[in-house]
Amino acid sequence: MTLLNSSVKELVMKDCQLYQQMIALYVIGGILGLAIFSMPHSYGFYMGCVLLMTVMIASGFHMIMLTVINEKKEQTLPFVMSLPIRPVDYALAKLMTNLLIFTVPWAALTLGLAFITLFSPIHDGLLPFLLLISFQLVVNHIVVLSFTVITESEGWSIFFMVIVNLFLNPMIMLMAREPVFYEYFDKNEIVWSVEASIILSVQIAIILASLLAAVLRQARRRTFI
Amino acid sequence: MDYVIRMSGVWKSYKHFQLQGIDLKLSPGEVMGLVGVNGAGKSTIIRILLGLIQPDSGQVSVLEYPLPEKQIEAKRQIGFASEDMRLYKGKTLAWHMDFIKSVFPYWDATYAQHLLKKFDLRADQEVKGFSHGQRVKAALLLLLARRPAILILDEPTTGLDSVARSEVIDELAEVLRDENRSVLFSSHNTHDIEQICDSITFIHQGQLLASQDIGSYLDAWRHIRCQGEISPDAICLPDLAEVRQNGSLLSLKVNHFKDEHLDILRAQGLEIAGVNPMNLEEIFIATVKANITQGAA
Repeated sequence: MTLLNSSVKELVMKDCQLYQQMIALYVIGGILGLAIFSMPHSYGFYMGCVLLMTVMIASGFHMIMLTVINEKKEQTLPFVMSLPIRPVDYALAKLMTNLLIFTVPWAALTLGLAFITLFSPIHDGLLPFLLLISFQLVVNHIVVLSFTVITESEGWSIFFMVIVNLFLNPMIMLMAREPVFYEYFDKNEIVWSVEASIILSVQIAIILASLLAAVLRQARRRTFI
Repeated sequence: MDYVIRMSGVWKSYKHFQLQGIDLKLSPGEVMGLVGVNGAGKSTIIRILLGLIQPDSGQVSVLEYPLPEKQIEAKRQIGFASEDMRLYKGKTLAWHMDFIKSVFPYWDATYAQHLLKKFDLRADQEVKGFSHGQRVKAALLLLLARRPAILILDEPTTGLDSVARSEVIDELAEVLRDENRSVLFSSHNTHDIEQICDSITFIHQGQLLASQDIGSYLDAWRHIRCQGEISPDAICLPDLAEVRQNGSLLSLKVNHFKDEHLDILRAQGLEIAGVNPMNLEEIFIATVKANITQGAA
């Protein structure tokens, strides 16, 4: 048994081609968010942040719906199942597609965010806080994606999306109350604290655990149905 | 290789349906029709043959690859289309052809162009603009141009109007005539099956009722019309599948027909009015009814 079926790459390419226009639209939305974020007013900062987060959350979830759930709803799944792939290959393709579709624009937008923070009147000390919040969007996306790949259910997918995003606001508030973050909000000094490293480690652990759960669950399935 | 498809003692249970000890064999080059009413178990058999469903018990192999263990190797050589299969409606047929070509190295571009003309399809047209008949033809093109060793078609003509169905069947029959390809074609329409298949398997309520070549069915079955004052229940005749009475006229459907059947009927005081061959639809219905009667008994 080969570890990675060569057809997985073709499935990833297929999905990227299918939804390239949608991806482009979301990237445009993200760029608009960055433009507002860079405006020299405090409302620009908040509006830009909200727009960026909304675009990232919406694009990620929309892509999960399109690539995983729509395949069943639009009855294209029998076409895919007839290809020389196993259930785990299909799951890997869906995970890789969504990681690619989400993380590439996310990385570009996050780099833009960092660039604007560093080279605009916004205080540089905000950067660790902003980067961790931005990375949390990746965590949320991967958790929802993994559970959607496992359950293949629209209902469960929406449920997990709501749950993970419900935790986002409390997380932002809790982090903003931590002195290691808020003490630098009005400073141009960038300090990456131990707490920031712990949060990042937990985020990475959640990502790895979610992906592993999805892959292992699908690897145990011998058949699609 | 004696058989390209081999199912032996395959059982699969669901809450309200059970596939019961299916034995099925398909020889190289054979075109077999799998006939049964909706819910008979045709799609379950086909999904097992693609390695999509794990049977509860029994052995399954396609091209000697055990399933579902070797489903990748088997599916590389199986061309599959089903009634519920859809293509990506926002993309063109050419895009689909490129995708299939990227997955299957044996894609025959020349043959694909030939089929495009034959099926009267436009490669640059988006799938959402296709009629149902064109969608079926597009799916057939995508699998035929891969040059698979086996075609498995699950009710591909269901939902088509009579003209589109006739077009699809005619073109499929012509394509299959040119090649020595093994085909399993499921349908509840015996007329479609009759046009392209050389053997037929009847399936009903998860049971395989009969499996033989079309000629053997047509030779074995007869519709006997006779006259006489006798209750249908009192008629004693081997392989009698169905009896209908209309006044003194009796209509009998008999399997494994021999001239001795007529002598037996005459001996019971019946006068033979006529003996006619039966078409496949009549044979299928009689087989199903005989099975139901046996089950009830």
